[in-house]
Amino acid sequence: MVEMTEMTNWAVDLIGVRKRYRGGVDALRGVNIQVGQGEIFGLLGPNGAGKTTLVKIMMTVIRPSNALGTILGRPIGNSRKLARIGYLPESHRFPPYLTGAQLLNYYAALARVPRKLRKSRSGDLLERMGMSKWANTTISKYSKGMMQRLGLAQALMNDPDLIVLDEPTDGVDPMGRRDIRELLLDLKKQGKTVLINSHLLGELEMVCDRVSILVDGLVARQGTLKELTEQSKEYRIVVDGDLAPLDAQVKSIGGRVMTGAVMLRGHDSEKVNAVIDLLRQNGHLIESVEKRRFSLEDVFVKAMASAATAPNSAAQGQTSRAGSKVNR
Amino acid sequence: MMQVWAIIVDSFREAKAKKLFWVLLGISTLVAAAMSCIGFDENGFSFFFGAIKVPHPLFQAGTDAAASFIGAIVSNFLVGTYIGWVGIVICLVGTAGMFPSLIETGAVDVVVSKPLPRSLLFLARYIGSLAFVLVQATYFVLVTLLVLRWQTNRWLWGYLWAIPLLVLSFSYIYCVCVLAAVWTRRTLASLVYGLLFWVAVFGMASLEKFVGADMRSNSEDAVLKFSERGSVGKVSHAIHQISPKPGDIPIILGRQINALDSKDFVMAITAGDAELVSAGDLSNIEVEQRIADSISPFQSIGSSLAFELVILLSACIIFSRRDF
Repeated sequence: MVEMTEMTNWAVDLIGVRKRYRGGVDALRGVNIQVGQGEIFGLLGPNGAGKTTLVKIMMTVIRPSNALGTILGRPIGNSRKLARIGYLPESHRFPPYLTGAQLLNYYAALARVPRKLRKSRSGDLLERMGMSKWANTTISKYSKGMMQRLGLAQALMNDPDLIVLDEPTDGVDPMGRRDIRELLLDLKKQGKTVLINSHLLGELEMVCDRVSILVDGLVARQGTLKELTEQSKEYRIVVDGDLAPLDAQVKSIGGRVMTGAVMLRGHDSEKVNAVIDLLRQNGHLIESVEKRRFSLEDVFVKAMASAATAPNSAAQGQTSRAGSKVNR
Repeated sequence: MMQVWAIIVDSFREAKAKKLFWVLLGISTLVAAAMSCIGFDENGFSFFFGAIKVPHPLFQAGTDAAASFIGAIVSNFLVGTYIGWVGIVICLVGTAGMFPSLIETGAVDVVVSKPLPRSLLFLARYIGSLAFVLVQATYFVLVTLLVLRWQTNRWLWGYLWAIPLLVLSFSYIYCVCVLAAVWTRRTLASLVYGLLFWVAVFGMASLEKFVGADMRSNSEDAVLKFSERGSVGKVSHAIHQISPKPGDIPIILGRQINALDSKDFVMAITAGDAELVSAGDLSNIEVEQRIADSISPFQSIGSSLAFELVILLSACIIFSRRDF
C-alpha cells in the first residue's frame, strides 16, 4: 500500500476544481484531489456528487470553471500527457460498425500510437481480455460485458502511465469483474497509476490503495483505506442493567452510553479497560466486548450523513498551493 | 496526420456502413444503365438496347444531332437534376448524422480525450463526411462518362469537373447541417435546417433573378446596378452576394464541359432552364442567358466558400468550447 508520506510525485494533483453549469448548478465546488504515482485510487460518491464531472474535466471532455494543478506533471489538457492517459468513460458508445480490432486500431491512432505497435498491442490486449475470437466481429454484435472488456483494452492501447476508468465493471459478470480486478492489480505491479470511479464499494475496497469520497461537489473524505477505516474503529461493550446513572462518567472517559451497551471510538485499550473497571465497580456484568472496524461502505455512509447535516463542512480548506492554470 | 487520417477513414467506414451509401450507388448504376439503353444506328435511335427502334432522319449514329440529344440529357438531367438536386438531397440524408454520431453522449468522450485539438478533429470529421459525397460523385461521373463515351464516341473530359463541383455544391449546404448538428446534437435537426437553408438559398436566388434582372434591350448588363434597384432589390442583391450559390454550379459545369469539347455539347443548359420559367418568351430567354453568361466562377465559388468558411468557423468554435 502506498502511504501519503511516501509520495513525492503525484500522478494527479488537482486543486480547487470547480464546475458551474449554465443555470448556476454547481457540479464541483472546489475539489482538491491527489493521486500518487503507481497507486490505485478510488473515487466514490453518490449519484450527482460530481465524480463523472471531475473525470471528464481531467480528460478535457468538460471545461472546468476553475482548476489548478497538474496531471502527470503538466496542466490539464496537455497534449503530450493526454497521449499517456488511457480512459474508459461511463456508458460509452463505440462505433457499432467497427470490429473490435478496428476500434482498437482507431483509438490508438488517435492516441498517436505508431501503426506497427497498434497491431501487436491490439492482438495482445484482445487475447488478455479473452476477446481474440471476436476481434473481427462488428461491435454491434457484442454483449455489454464484451463492450466493457473492449473498452478496457482501448484504454490500454497507448500503454498509458495513468488509466482513468469510469465504472469499469458496469455490466460485467462476476467472473469478468474478478478478471478486471486482477488486471488492475497487474497494472499496479507494472507501476501504472489507476483512478477508478465506481459505485461498487466492495470491489474498490479490494483493490484501492486510497480513496476519495465526493459529496455534493466537495471531497468529504480522502486518504488511504487504513486511514479512513481507522478513524471509524470502535469498541462496543455489551452490559446488562441500566447504564443511565453512569452516563457522565462514561463520557468523561470518552465513551457514550447506549441502550445495553457502551460505545468507545478508536482502539485505545486503556480507555476500554477504564470503562470496564467502571462498569464492574458499579456491579454491571460484562456480556461481550466487540472490536469493530468499519468497512468502506460504513465510511461512505458516515461521510454522506455528515455532509447532509453540515454540507459545507465537507469542504477541504482552499489551499493556496501554486499550480498551473488549465491548458484549454 | 496519423490522427486526421484515422478520423477520415473512420468517417468513411461509418458512411459505408449505412444502407443509403449502397442505395445511392445502386441508383447511380441504374441511372447509368438507363442512359446506356438509349442507342443510335444508321436509321434513327432506339431504347432498351435496340428493343424499341425509332426511325429518325436527324438522330442517327455519328450525327451532331445525336450528340446534342445526349448533351441535352447530360445538361438537363444528369447535371441539372440528378447531380444538382437528387444526388445532393440523398447525400445530405446520408451525411446529416455524421456529426451528431460523433458528439453523441458516450461516443464523444473517448475521442475528445485523445491528444488531438478539437478544431483538427472537427476539420477531419468534416473532410471525412465529404468523402462520402466524393466517392458517390466519382462513381457516378465515371460510370456515366463511360456510357457517354460509348454513345457519342467521344470522351467528355470536361464532365469530370462534375466530381469536385458536386462536392463543392454539397459542401455549401452541408456546412449549415454541421452547424445545426453541433448546436443541437440531433440528426433530424441537422437535416431539416440544411434542407430549409437550401430552399431559402434557391428562393433568394430566384428573387434576385426576378427583381434584379435587367430587362432593357439596350443595356449591356445582365442585372440592375445597385443604385437602380428598389429597396427589395437592394436587400435581395446584398443577401445574394454573401450567400452560397449552388444554383450556379450546373452552369459552371456546363461551361467546363464545353470548354474541353470541340462543340457546345451542353448547349441547352441555360436555355432549358429559361423555357421552364417562361416558355416561348424569347426576351426572357435572352435575359436568362445573359444572367448565366454573367456568372463569374471565381466570384460565385469565392463568395460561396467565404460563406461556408464563416459557418464552419462558427460550428468549430461551438464544437471546441462545448462541454460533452
